[in-house]
Amino acid sequence: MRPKRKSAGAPTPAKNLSKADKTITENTPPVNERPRVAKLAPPEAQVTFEQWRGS
Amino acid sequence: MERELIKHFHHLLPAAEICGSVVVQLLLNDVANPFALALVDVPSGGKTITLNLFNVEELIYTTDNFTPASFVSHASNVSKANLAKVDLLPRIRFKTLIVRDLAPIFGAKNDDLLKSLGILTRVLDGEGLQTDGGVHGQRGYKGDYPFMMLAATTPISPRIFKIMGTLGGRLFFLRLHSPDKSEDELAAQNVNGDCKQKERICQAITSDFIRGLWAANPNGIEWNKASDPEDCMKVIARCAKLLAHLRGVPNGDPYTDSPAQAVIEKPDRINTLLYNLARGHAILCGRRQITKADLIPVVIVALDSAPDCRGELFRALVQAGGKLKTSEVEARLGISKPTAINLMEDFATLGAAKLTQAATNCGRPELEITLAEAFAWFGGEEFKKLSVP
Repeated sequence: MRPKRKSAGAPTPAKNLSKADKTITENTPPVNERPRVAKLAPPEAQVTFEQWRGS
Repeated sequence: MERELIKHFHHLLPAAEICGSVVVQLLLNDVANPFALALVDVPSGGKTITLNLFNVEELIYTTDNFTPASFVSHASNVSKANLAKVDLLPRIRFKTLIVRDLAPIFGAKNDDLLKSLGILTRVLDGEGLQTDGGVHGQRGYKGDYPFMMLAATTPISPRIFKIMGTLGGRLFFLRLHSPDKSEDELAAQNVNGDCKQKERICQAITSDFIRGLWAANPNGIEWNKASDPEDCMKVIARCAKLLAHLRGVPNGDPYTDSPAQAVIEKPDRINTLLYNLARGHAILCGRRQITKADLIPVVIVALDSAPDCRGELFRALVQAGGKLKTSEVEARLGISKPTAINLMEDFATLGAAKLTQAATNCGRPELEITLAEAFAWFGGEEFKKLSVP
């Protein structure tokens, strides 16, 4: 006896590529909240522009 | 050993100052446009030494070579979940990208170059990048993605400028003009100098200087634009207009009755970027307002960013009082007559100068260019002081 075929059921909707496969990272925080200034280790010694450049 | 740049790399000082003015733009809270500056000189001219000065670990992303496609990767052998780790764009956000050699990009075939510069142009808008590929669909980053870029390259061929002109030039250039050393200087260099040691000292002091600026402004700088002097703003605007014209792509014949065509970008973006450069220089000097001293980098970068010999010809034209004949262009720039004529015709098409037949009493008639009315300010004393500090 042939095995009973499984009912296909309702057709699976085609995968919405435009939505499912998008990996867009939106990142526009308000200007005053931007983490734009990187955190740097403090300087070992204070150097002014004149000291850096020399004269 | 003394901890001053001038003692060790005297000839690189102007370039270091301008590079520093690019890096510190990251402190300005209102900056949205990335500033990309490429140092141009022959090999061993000091480009890499200058770039290495700014090797501040947390602030700099360095690479010796990169492809513009790496900003947003579509690598098929990387799972989608891991692609974000490969993308370059999020890693350079709010940092300075240092590319020690742009030659691999500039050396590509025209089609590849157009593709690369197209991506670079978009990324340098500072608004992220979204690209579509057959494997992963659409990927990318949208929003606020500013960064600064410092790069180095050997002298650039005219075709690069032509392609960049078509896309809208985003890259600025700075020619180092490293001086030739005498035999005695070269001999003494091997005996006396430990170049790497000097480099390390200058790197350390630059790192301390930059870290000090960041420590003093942990939340960035809110710049009061209204307090900047109007005459300085006008100089920046003039430089922006000039560079927009000099960067144009001529496309026509100046001798026909119909006006010659040229694609000339609007100066708005250049104006903003040059203003940011001036502000960067002011921050470097410890000021919160631009002064005439901050216009020197603006003038230098504006003229150096002009393609081919146009910057040199413009400098020669203003030095000569606003008029130059073909033979004078040949002599001053060290170029052949056909090249000189082409260059002069380009100037006329781009609206930087008027092209006429020079009056002669004897010999063959020559062409003559006269500085355009719109750029008359560049023939004056103020520009002379700024261009020869």
